[in-house]
Amino acid sequence: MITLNHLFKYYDNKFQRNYVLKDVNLTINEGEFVTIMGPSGAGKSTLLNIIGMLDEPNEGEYFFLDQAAHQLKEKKKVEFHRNYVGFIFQAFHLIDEMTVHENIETPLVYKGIKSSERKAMVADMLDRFNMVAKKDLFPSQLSGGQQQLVGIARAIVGKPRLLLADEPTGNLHSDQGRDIMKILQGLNEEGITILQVTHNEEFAKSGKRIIRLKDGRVENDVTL
Amino acid sequence: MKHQFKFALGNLKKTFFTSLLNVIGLTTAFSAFLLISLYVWNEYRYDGFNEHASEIYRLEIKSPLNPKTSVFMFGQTGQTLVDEFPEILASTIYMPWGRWTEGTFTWNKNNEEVKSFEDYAYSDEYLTDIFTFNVINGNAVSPLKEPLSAMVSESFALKAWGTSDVIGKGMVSGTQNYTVTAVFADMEPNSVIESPIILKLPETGRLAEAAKSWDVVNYPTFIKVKPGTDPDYLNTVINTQSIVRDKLYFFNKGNIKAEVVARPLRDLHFTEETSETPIFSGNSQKFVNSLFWVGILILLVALVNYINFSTANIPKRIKSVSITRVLGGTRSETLLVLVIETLLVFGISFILALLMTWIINQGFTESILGYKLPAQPLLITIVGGGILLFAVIAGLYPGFTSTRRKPVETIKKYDSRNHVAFRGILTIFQFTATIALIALSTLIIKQIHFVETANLGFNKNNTVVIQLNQELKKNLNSFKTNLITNPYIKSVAFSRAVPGQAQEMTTFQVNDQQCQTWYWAADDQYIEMMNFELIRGRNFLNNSQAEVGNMICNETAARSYGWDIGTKVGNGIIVGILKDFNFVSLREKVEPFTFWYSTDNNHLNYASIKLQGDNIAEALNNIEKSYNTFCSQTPFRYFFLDEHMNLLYSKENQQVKLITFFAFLSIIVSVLGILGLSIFMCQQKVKEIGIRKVNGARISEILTMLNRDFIKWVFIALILAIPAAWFSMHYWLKSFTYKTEVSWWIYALAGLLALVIALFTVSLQSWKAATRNPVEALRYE
Repeated sequence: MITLNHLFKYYDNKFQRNYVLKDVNLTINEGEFVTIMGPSGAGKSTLLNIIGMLDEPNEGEYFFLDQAAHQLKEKKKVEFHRNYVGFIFQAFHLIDEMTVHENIETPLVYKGIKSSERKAMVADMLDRFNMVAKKDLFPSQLSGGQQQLVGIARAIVGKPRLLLADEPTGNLHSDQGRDIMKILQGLNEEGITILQVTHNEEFAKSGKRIIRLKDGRVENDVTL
Repeated sequence: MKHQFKFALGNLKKTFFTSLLNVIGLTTAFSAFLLISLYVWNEYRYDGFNEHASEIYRLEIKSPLNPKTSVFMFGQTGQTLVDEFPEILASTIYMPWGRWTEGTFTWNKNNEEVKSFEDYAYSDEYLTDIFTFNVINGNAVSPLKEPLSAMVSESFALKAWGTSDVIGKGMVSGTQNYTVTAVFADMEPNSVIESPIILKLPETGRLAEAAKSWDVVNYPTFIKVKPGTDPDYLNTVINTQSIVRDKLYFFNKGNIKAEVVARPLRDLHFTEETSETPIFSGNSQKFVNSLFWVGILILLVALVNYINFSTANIPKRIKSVSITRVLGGTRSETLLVLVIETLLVFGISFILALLMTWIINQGFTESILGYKLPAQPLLITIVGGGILLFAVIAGLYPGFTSTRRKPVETIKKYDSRNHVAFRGILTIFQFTATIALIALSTLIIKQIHFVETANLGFNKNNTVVIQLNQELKKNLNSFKTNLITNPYIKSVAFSRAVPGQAQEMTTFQVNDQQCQTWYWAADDQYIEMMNFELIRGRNFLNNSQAEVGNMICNETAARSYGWDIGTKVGNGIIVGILKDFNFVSLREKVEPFTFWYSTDNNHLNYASIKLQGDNIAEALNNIEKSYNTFCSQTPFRYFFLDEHMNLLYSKENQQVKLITFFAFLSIIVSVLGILGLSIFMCQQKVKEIGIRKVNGARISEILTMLNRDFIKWVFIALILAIPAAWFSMHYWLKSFTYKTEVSWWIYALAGLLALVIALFTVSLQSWKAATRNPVEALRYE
């Protein structure tokens, strides 16, 4: 599903070039649950952002479903975001001015799905995460764990094939974190490919494969 | 206090860009408001500098034959009233003839003879008893007592002789040799007495003889009464007890008698009851009032911006305010910081505005108004005080909202949703004002275009007009023959006056009916040459002595007095009837008008010359050559009839310049407002934009989202502006008898312009926000 060949990402300073990613080669197949680990500044988030097409590599190739993603135009990238990928963030990144229902609905609006259908899809999600009663609340009225549930619901409501999670449990206490991990595992069993970044060794084991990054390089790649 | 001051300065630095926008906006608005206040003050204080302002009246005749009063009185009126009533202390005749046509003056400067056209007036020795003059040289008491004395303004003295010490200097006007007896400091620009040269009324000759009779109304007259005299009482006694009223029988209509009106000096400038005459300038009070409201509006828009900015800052502000309070600051201390901050912004803006007002007043105002607005320290202090008072309130408002709640609550979260609605309302208000102003300026421009291009009933184009002087009159026929041989000249005709001049009325007794009509002598060519449209009868016969005295009147005269071809009027008969035409401004209704045929050069004051071909410069050159052949003494002067008639709308032209200028300022202020707002909005929504992009939103969709509110506001504003603009446009058009249409496209244009301006300003910001990489926005802080 994802193939990365000799991927480089760097920032030019006045006097030197700072590498964030150095010669990363990686293949991820459909249906995998991959955890990316590594110390701060190892390039985990950058790698995730490049895979999510929010950022571009400076050198190297990136194939997504056999398409050359590094050559995609802006418009195609929007299509990619709409149809293939969902994001989950550490800081949840819900829209404060919108209710739970509206937040979950957002990607569907951009996908151009009809209102009645959207309602049904959002209702499914609310049902699935036991949040029907909270659908008219605003994010600020929810606990962190609940906010992240909304974040997940929003990420998967459009039925993406790839789920990218950047420290999804970073802002949660461990019980909430475990719940979130269970949900991710469940999603993976349903067939969604998941790529998560985490610092937490326990949660890292929820995945089937752990990739450790250090100083922009892949240090090791273990399938559990 | 010092600590708070430092804090306030620090805050301003932190929000440098907003503070800058605020200062620019407030400076613009304060300058606009100051200029407008000075203008309005100047207009409302017209003639107010006179020591006896409240005791001076102008006399006018109100005739039932005419909807408006006339300022031209019998020469004896003033003195008669002074003799009759002890309340009336003095009277003077003041005839600013130079306003009509400047006179030729000759004087010696450094032993060289200088000849020039100058504005002048005739008056008498009582002038200085009634009006306040600041005599800086010569005789302060009755300088016009002696025959052939003259008083001149300081600037004229400097221009003519290079010094203000000119007592005893001579100057020749016409055939008379006048001696300067007093030099007065230049009059305020808002004075009914405007002429720089005031000559003693001649004591012999035609003008003097006429002044002694009860036959000729020609003399604008002012009186001064005892302090405390009631104006209504004054008008009543004059009309019930004076013989003057009986002398006006001329102007009676059957049993309805004409009356004398004593109009207070302070009312003269704004009165709309008096027939327009160029000798006394006036202004529309409606316009002055409207301009004042425009000033208030601009000021409000800028203050709204300020409030808008400060509420947009509240979320940020609350956090810092709350943190200082957690650290031990008291509420009053935090409020003090905020007040100092607004006072600084407002104070700096006001000082800059004073500077800008001064600069604008140096050049721009003079180019529009023809004079600099005098500085009014009292007014400026009042405006400044009001502004600073507002600053304190504007500082306290966000201060109270941000310190009202417990600091711990507000550190955590602050709900900004209510403020969005509040700012929306304020922005709608701004746009309503801007759209209405744009619409109003458009309408004024349209009306001016309408009046300048309207079909007046004759052809005013390609016509050069020369005023005839005695020398030319002696050789009028040769002058004409000489002109006509010229290839650039199509034809030449003579008349008593030309369109654009409200001049000369007379009254005939026809079949026991008083018939008042405009009354101009003309030669046999004039009517045909100017394309007046004859609807019945014939033109004057060429070169026929038998035709002299015969008349051609307009439809209105024929209709109102029942005249027809063959009716005997005065010494002649009506031979033709013209289609109605407008010879003065389109503010006025068409009134009865009569041309009478004359071959006597004394009756003809103007030569109208129709040009042909495109070479106007060469044509003028040739006219000047011919002129100099017959008249070597007086310099050549001419005007184009169409330009001359456009002067009738100089007031409107002034108005359009003022309104457009201030509309422009208000647009600037509004643009700054929405610029600031859109910056805040984009900042606030950085995260939301990132989230939406990650969830599959296109740039175009983000732009729509960011611009939608502003478009909505403009549309609501347009809906609100339409009735406001409709009302003000009709109010302004009221003074015109002939009006342009208030077309729908005026609203559309104003709305579209506002929309384009808003979209452009907002898009500058939202484009930046929408194209940003979401990764930056969503990075975990």
